[in-house]
Amino acid sequence: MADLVLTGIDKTFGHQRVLQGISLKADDGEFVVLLGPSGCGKSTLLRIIAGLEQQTSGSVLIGGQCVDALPPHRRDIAMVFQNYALYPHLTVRENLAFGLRMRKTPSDIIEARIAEAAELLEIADLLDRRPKDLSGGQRQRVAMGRALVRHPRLFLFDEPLSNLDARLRASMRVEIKKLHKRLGVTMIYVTHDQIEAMTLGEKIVVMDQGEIRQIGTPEEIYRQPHNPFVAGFIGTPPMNLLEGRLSVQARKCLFEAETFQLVLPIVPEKGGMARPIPAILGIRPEDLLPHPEERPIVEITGTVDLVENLGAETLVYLAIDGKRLTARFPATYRVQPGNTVTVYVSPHRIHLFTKGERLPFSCE
Amino acid sequence: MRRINSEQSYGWLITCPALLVVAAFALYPALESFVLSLHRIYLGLPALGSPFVGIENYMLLLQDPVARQAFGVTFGFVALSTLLELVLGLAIALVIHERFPGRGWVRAAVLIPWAIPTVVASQMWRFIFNDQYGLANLLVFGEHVSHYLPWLAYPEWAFLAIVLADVWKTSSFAGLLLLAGLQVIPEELYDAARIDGASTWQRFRTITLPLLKPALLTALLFRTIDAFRVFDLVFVMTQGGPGDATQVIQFYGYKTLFAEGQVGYGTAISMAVFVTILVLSFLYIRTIGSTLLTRVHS
Repeated sequence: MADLVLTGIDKTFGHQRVLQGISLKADDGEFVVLLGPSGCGKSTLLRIIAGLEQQTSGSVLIGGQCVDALPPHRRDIAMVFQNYALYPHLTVRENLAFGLRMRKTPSDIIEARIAEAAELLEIADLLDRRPKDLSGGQRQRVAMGRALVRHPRLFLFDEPLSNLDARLRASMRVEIKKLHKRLGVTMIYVTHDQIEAMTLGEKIVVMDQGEIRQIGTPEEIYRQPHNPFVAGFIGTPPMNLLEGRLSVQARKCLFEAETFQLVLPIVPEKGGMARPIPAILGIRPEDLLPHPEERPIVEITGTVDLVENLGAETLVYLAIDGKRLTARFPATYRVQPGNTVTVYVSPHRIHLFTKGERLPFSCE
Repeated sequence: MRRINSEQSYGWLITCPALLVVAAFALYPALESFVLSLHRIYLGLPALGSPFVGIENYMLLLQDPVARQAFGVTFGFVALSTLLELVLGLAIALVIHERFPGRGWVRAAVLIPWAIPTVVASQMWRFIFNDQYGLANLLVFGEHVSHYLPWLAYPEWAFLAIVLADVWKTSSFAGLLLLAGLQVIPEELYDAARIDGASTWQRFRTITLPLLKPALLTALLFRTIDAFRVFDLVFVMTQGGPGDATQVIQFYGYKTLFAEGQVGYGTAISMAVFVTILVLSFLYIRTIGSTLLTRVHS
């Protein structure tokens, strides 16, 4: 059991800067997800925590102890790899025992640990097989078992489910969550899959281009994205982001895109802005409503471009003077391409970003 | 059924050109050699004709002490050079598998000995071991010219010299085969082993070596068969001497056939080499056939 603290981690490969000023904390027993597009540096960060890669500057503290000078096996961590990394010439039992044998653990303890992990992961009947005779899901379990038997202070997962098919991924997700509940051990989990991040993470760290864009609970990340990157990265279909200019008038704001304008009944917390400034307006597809349900409300009128019926819901793609807007409506909503419709959004559900940051405001 | 048959005949049809080439350039010469080896033919004495003598040449071969000695030298050469080439090749492969600045150049440089024609390389090594101006003498004795040794005139040194030349020339080829084997071992396994606490040596012994087994066996197969056919090194460097100390079987066969003109007996020796290599190949393929097909799973 241990917490993890990273302070000011930088990493450069040659002239290429892959990580910049990464500081974050994972509490003891917390499930932290590092989320970001490929190439954002999340895997490098995990490898630095593991000690497989050395940071250029900054420190890694596990359980209050600085581990910068320690090799991976002395950091008391276990890692589950994307391609499982099972030793192909060893049986499942030998794979599980490998790390313990390297540590010269007495064989009765090794046996006990293997039995314990095998029971927990339901792989007892696979112990004498070799990795090539296992299915993807079984290999994944063995890979987790190899981490489990070590009783580490910290679990590291590097995109562990990305090689599984969608159905298996969903069930393994649940298993990992159960495992975390049962063991109560700190877990750091790297993924580019936002569903994994939202369902597993108690804390999500959104990364992009080697930097942290936001740290928060899944709820915070989704409801209060700090910047347009997080806003656009989280959510399927992604948040509608419209570029334009924002100016403050008496008790309301005016958002002007190239060809249309919206009057927003909101007041920025920072006060008035003398001149219009560039801004990005964000609205989640599910926050667009087919009917006005409250007052005040913002109305947007456009032409229906395309309708996708997904069974449980309908996605309506609207064209508003050259800009595209996605709305997520109940399946009962009937509309034809070419129709002109008006959609509504509550001012509370609007996100505004200026200078790359969230603009806090209150509603009138 | 009909479809399978037509598929089969189509298969035969498209492999036909290749089979014809093999038949014309491999099968026919081998058969013709076998026929020749059943006759007594002296090139210098056409008046004797070429009578059919059955297996007389082979009986001769079994009782020939020079041939026995030549086989001994050959097996010694094969064993020693193959062993050294695999060990050195593994070392080369491990080095050029690592990432370091200028790796591309090192990889290319390592292959230079292999790219040089054997006759040229042999000539170079003959110079190196020359008794008056050879590099070997300079390195060992420096300016003390009076101590200079005629290396290739001593049986043991001459034998070691051809082994050394072969090792120098072909270790990089073994290294290349082993490098291909190293490259299919997933990097993740080494990461996992580091986290599991395996030292560099333990990682080599528990991951690299077992997973490299197919590549090692392939390299062993290629090197053994190749070493068994050794001829040009001996031809250029020692001519089989001193005495018969470096007379490998191929060279003995060549001497018998072309220098002495005993076509029948000479081809019988060649057939013996052919059969030995054939048996070796079969043995290897039976042992490694299954291993070769097992790809590395992770």
